[in-house]
Amino acid sequence: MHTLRLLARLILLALLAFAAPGAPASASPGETPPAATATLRIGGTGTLQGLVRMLFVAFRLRHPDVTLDQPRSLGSSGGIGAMLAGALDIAASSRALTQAERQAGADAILLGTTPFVFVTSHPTARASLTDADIVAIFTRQRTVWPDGMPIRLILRPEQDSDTAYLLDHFPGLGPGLDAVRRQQTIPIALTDQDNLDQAELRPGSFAGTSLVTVLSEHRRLTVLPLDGIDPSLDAMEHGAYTLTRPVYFVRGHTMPPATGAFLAFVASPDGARVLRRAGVSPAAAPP
Amino acid sequence: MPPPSNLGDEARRIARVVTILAATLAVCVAVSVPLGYLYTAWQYETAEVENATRDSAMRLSRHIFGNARMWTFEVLRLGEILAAGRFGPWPVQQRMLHAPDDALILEVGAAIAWPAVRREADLRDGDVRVGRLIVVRSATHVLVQTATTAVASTLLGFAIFFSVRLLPLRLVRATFRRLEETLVALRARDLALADHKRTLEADIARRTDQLSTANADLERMLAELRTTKEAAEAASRAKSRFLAVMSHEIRTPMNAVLALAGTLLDDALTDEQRNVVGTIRDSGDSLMRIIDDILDYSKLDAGRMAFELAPFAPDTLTASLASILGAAASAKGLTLTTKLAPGLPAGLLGDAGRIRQVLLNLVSNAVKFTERGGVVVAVHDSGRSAIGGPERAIVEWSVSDTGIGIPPDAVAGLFGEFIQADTSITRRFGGSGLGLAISKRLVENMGGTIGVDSQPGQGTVFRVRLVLPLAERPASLATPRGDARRRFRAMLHDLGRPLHMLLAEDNATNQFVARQLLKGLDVRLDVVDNGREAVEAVAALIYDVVCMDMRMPEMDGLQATRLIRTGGGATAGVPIIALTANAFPEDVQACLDAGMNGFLSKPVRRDDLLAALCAAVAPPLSPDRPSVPSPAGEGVPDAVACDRVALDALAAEIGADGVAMLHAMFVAETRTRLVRLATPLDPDTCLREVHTLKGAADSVCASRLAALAGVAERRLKVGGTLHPADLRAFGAAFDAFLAAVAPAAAGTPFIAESCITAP
Repeated sequence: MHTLRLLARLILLALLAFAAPGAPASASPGETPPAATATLRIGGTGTLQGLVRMLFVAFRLRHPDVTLDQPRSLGSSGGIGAMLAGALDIAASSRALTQAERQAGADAILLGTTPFVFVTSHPTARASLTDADIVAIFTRQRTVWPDGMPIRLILRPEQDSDTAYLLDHFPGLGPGLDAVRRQQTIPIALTDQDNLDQAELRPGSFAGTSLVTVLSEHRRLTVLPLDGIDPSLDAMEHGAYTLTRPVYFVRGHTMPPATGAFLAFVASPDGARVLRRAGVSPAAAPP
Repeated sequence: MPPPSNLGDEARRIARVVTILAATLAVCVAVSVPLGYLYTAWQYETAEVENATRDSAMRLSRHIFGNARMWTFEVLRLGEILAAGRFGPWPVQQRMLHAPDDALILEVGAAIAWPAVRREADLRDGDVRVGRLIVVRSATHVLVQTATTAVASTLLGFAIFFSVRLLPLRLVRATFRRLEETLVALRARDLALADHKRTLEADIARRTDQLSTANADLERMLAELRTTKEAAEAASRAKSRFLAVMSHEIRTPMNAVLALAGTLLDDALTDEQRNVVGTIRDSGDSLMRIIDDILDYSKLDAGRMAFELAPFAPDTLTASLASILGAAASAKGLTLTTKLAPGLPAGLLGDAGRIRQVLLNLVSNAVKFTERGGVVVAVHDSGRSAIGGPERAIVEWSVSDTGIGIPPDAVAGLFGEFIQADTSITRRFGGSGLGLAISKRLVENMGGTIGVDSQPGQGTVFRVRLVLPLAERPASLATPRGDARRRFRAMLHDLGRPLHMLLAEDNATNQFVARQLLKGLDVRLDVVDNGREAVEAVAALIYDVVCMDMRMPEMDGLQATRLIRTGGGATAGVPIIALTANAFPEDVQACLDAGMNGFLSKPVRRDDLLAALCAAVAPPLSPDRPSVPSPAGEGVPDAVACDRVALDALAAEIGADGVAMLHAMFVAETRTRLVRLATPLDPDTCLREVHTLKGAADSVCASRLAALAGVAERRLKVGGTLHPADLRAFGAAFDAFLAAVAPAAAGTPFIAESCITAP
């Protein structure tokens, strides 16, 4: 009996070694080899929840002993706060650090930029929108799609970074949006995942989000063109699509080995390929 | 009525009470409304904060669920959830504390000073308590609202105070003002009433005086009327007394006239003398009838007519009319027939004498005023009446004639006093003119009605209707003529000696009349002139009977009778018969009260005198001790075959022709009856035939035959039989009667051997 158990373990180890395709024999240059068994704690903005999982899956190909501990979305501020409190190793953020956060020891790493997009569950509504259309929809001056389908608007909390982004980029939206918010008839999605879940569920929905969230979470939503331009990385990189926003990883002064290895992978050409596939134009050109 | 100043005090007291009430009400409103509002609002505030806190805690717990490790870092999102809490527009502070060290996670809003409502709720990750939420919400607005309410309620209190105090007070003042006005008016009215009362009292006093005067006048008039009434009644009594006295005074000489005329007729007279004496007697009879009418009318007018109630047979009564007046009708060539309705009651209770008087008057009038045809007397049974007592019969007699009739305009007053349809009738037919008036009053006094239907020239029908109680049929009604003398002789025969009689009579004429009436009879008569001599005579001698006049000098008959009755000895019980012309009931009663045994009204007829003597001297046998009848001839008084005196009396009443017709009928019927009695008959039939024979013989004054039939009838009634000796005696008496009344008609004697020897 004891002999049979020992034999089974040997066969399993052999299969695992054979099944790992292209498994690197060693870490990439510049990467600090992580501890034999380590847990990587990454959390923060819901915008990057899917991107973090895609990056870790690729990273784990080379560091199979590292496991990922990813709590549900805490928001950028919540993630940074948790990282500073030592509850996380890396905080994902969709905004830059505040002065207080930097003073607390936070260090932001720009991953790249991603288009800010508007999505709907109504495929036939794929019509080009203008800035005025956007303002009209958010202020409930326009309430139906061209085919007559009601536009079911979904808002984000007043303090959320998405709301701040919209107010920055669509001047004059503030008073109308406040008025709509006071009516309390429009649903407010607390997290990015809530936002896209409701957009998928409601027919004729309309919500603002980041392209990285839509692509990395494989959402079944239609991304609407703005002023006739589809929000792709190429259009953004060529300056045709102007609604963009940066995304960051935030780390502390002290960093466990696995964290360094992961950040090194993100900055590596493999990491850059993952970022582009997820809808993020990497900050550093791939090597 | 209190003075007006009291009304003022009362008004002020009411004003004080109303003011206190209004103030109390206003203060209650001003205080209670804000306090009530504060309490209610505070309760509502507390409940609202409680609910909102629980709602926020529930949403936070839902967000925390599954993220207990990291939720404390989601400050912004937690703030968003808290911001969505439904705490209204009021200042609020929310604090989130971490369990178990109560480290502050998040605080929203500034600190809230009192007044504030504080509530807290647990935050949970599933079943695990991970913290708590403390909410403090300002309640300043509640105090502000309460203060506003207090201001408003104070204003309301003032409004209530003024409205509750002022309006009633105004009303009270107005009411008291009106009361004072009313009081003044009432005082004025009281004064006016007092004046009016004084006026009324004076008026009443004046009216009272007037009434007293009028009352005195009325009393004086009443006294005068009473005096007048008493005078009228006294005059009426005097009239009645006058009539009675006059009747008495007239009867006394008439008694002599009639009695002496009767005795003269018994003597041998020439035809001319007999005619003269007969006329005198007839005229006297007419005069007596007029006097009787006047006396009856006087009694009826004074309401002193007495009616007796005794059983009688209506058929016999009706038949007696024909027997009395049949001769008079026959004398005028008229028929007088009677008709008895079937089912007529056998016996009735009433005054048969008065009924007969009425009917005799009607029938005699009918005969009087009918020249051709006839008169029919009918009795109808008109049914029964049981109203208010025992069953009574309604009997109607009708008297129809074929006479001259009565003009319609005379019918209405026919029953009035001194009325005849034609005044010439009185001259032609005579009469008092009181007959119908008396008849009407008699009938009405008996509770009946009398009426008349007439057609001039065709005849008249009088109807008398009476309602009378039913009764057993009486044995006999009338005393047959001739019976009195027969019974008197029988009584003398039983006595075995002459009758010793005392007559007390002051009037020499009446003394002579009495002697004449008793002439030929075996009577020894002593006569005295007054009551005192009568008493002495009774004390000295033994009399069988005393006849006592009521009015005599020195001592009247009543006083003498009382002395005799109280004198004791054997003579105290001597029978005493009153003789008087007074015919009023109270006179009869006075005689009986004095101890007299009988009563005879003047003028005295021989039959009446003999019957009264018989009744007084030899009272009838008691029904308890019937005499044992003997065979024919035994015990039969020495009766004559034909009673001449009785026959003459009958002839005087119904005329010689009537007597002749009656005899003819009797002879024919008796022949048939005697033959029938010779044949075998059942006891009832035999008794009826013998009874009828006796009655018929009495009617025609065949005294011996009647006596023989009476003896046989008594024997048959107690179960005896009719013997051949009886039949022979009947035949002999019948033959003797025929020989006495009509020797020529007697012819062949009736007695036939065949009859006698028949089984």
